[in-house]
Amino acid sequence: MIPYLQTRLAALALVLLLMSMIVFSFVHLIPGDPVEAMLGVEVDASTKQGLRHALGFDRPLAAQYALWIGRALRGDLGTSVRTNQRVTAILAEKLPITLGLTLAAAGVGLAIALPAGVVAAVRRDSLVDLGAMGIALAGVSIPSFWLGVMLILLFSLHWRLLPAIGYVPFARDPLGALRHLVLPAVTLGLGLAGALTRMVRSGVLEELGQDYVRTARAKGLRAGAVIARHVLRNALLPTLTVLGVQVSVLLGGAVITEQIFAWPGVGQLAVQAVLSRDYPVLQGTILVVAALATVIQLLVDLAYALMDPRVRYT
Amino acid sequence: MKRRWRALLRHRLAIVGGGLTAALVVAALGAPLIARDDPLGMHMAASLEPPSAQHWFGTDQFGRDIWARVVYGARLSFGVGLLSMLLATAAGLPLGAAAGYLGGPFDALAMRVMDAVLAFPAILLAIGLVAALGPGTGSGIIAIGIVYVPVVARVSRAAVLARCREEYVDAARALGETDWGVLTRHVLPNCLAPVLVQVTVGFASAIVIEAGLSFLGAGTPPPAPSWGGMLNEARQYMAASPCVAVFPGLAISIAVLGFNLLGDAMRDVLDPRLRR
Repeated sequence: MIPYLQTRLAALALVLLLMSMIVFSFVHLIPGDPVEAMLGVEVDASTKQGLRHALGFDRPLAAQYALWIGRALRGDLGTSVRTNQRVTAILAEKLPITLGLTLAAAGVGLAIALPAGVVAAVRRDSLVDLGAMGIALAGVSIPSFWLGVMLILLFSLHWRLLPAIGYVPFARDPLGALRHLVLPAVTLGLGLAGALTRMVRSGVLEELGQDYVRTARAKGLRAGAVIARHVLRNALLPTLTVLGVQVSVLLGGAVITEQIFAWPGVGQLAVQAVLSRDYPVLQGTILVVAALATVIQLLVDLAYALMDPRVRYT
Repeated sequence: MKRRWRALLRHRLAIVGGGLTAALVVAALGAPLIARDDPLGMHMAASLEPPSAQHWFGTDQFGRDIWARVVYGARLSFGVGLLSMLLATAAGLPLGAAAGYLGGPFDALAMRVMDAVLAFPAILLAIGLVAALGPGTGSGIIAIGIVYVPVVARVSRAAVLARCREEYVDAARALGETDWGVLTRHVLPNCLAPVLVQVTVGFASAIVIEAGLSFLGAGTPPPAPSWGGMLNEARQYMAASPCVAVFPGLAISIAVLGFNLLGDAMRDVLDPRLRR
C-alpha cells in the first residue's frame, strides 16, 4: 500500500501545482490592465498603483507566481478588493455550507441509485428496468438549474410545502435547516442519482453472472441475501470510483444550485466575484474548491485500493 | 462505413437521439422560417400571456414570443456547441495523438497538464475563464472549448496508443513511412470513431455549460435569446406565468437528451469496446 500511496501523492502534488498555475493565469488572461478591470477606470493612479503593488503585478511574471503560491501555501489567498476581507476567512465561513449541501446531495443520489440500480439489474429487460433507466437518463439530461426552478415552482409556489430560497444554520434551527436543505439537495442529487443508477445496474449485472453467485444460490441462500451479502459488496466497488469522480461534478453543480436557492456558499461567492470582478476571491475560491475535489477523489481512490487489493498492484 | 451507417440507422437509441438532434439542427438553421415572430420584439401590452394560437408557448415579461425565443435559442446553443467542440477537437486531437504516438516526457507532461484541467469542476473553470475573457458568447465558446480539450486529448491518446500496436502500423514503418506519415495516414484515420463519439456527447455538455453560464449572468448577455438567460429571467415571473420557465428548460433537456442518446448509440455502433 505504501508504494501505491507514494505514487498517488506525487501525482496529486504535480496536479495541484499545475492547477495553481492555471488559476494564477486567470488574472493575466484579462485583456488590458487587470487592476483597471478590478477597480474601474475612474479610480486615481495612486490607488491603482497601491493595488498593483499589493498583488505583485509590478514584478516579473515568474516572481508574481512565486509570491502568490508562496502566500497560498501559508494560507494567505489575498484580500477581497470589494470587501477588504481576507479570502481565507471568507472561504472558512462559506465552505462548510457548500460541503453540507454536497454531502446531502450525495446522500440523495445514493438513496435513489442503490435500490433503483439493484432492482433494474435483478429485473433486467422488464418494465421496471426500462423505467429506472429512463429516469436515470432523465437525471443526467435535465440540467440542475431547470430542475431547481421547477421544484421551486411546484413545491414552494404551487403546493407551498417547502421554502423556495434561503439558508438556515443547523445549530440555530435544525428543523428549519432541514426544510431549507430538501430542495437544493434533491436538485443536486438527482443528477448524481442518474449517473450512479446506471453504474450500480451494470455492476450488479456483472456480478450476477459470476460463479460465486451460482454457488450461493445452490447452497439455498435466498435471492435477497445473495444480493445483500455477496453481490452488492462487489458491485459497489466500481460505483465508489464513480462517486469519487462525481464529487467534482457535485461541487461544480453546487455553484448553480446555490445561486438558485440563495445559499450563501462558495458557489454563490464565485458568481458574485465574477460579476464584481473580485479576482483574488475568484482565484482563491476556484483553487480551494478544485483542490478539495482532487483530494476527495484521491481519498475515494485510496478507499477503493484498501477494499480491493488488486488495485494496489496494478 | 456503409455497414456502420446502416447499423446506426437501425439502432433504437440512435433513431430517438438522432431525431431530437435533427429537430435542434432544423430549429437552428431554419429559425427565421420557424419562429413566426421576432425573438426580440417587445409587446408590453401582451406580457406573460399563456400559450395560444398566436403565441404557441405564450409570452415573457416583455411580451416577447417564447416560441420564437426558444427557436432562436436553439441556433445559439447549436452554434456554441459546434464551435466549442471544433475548438476542443482542433486542440485536443493533435495534442492527444502526439502524446500517444511520441510517448516519453512529452506524453507525461501533456497528460499531467490535461489531468490538472480535468480536475477542475467544469462550470467553475468555465466561470474563471469567462471572468478573465469577459462575459459574452465568444468567451463562453472559448471557455467550453478549453474545458473540453483534455477530454478529447485523453480519448485521442488512448485510441492512438491502441492503434500503434496494430500490425499495419509496423508494416507502414517497415515500408519506410515517416512518423508523420504513419500518424496522419494510418493511425489517425482509424482513431476518429471514439473521438467522434466523445465530441457528440461533448455537444450535450457544451449546451448545458453555455446555458449554465448564461443562467448565472456570465454567458450570453440579454436580450439575446439564450435558453439559460431566459430561465434566469423567468425566475422572477414564473409564479405569474410558469410557461416562461418551463419551455426554455424543456428545450435544454431535450437537446441534451438527444445528444446523449445519439452519443450512446454511436458508441455502441462505432466503438463497441467502450460499451459498459
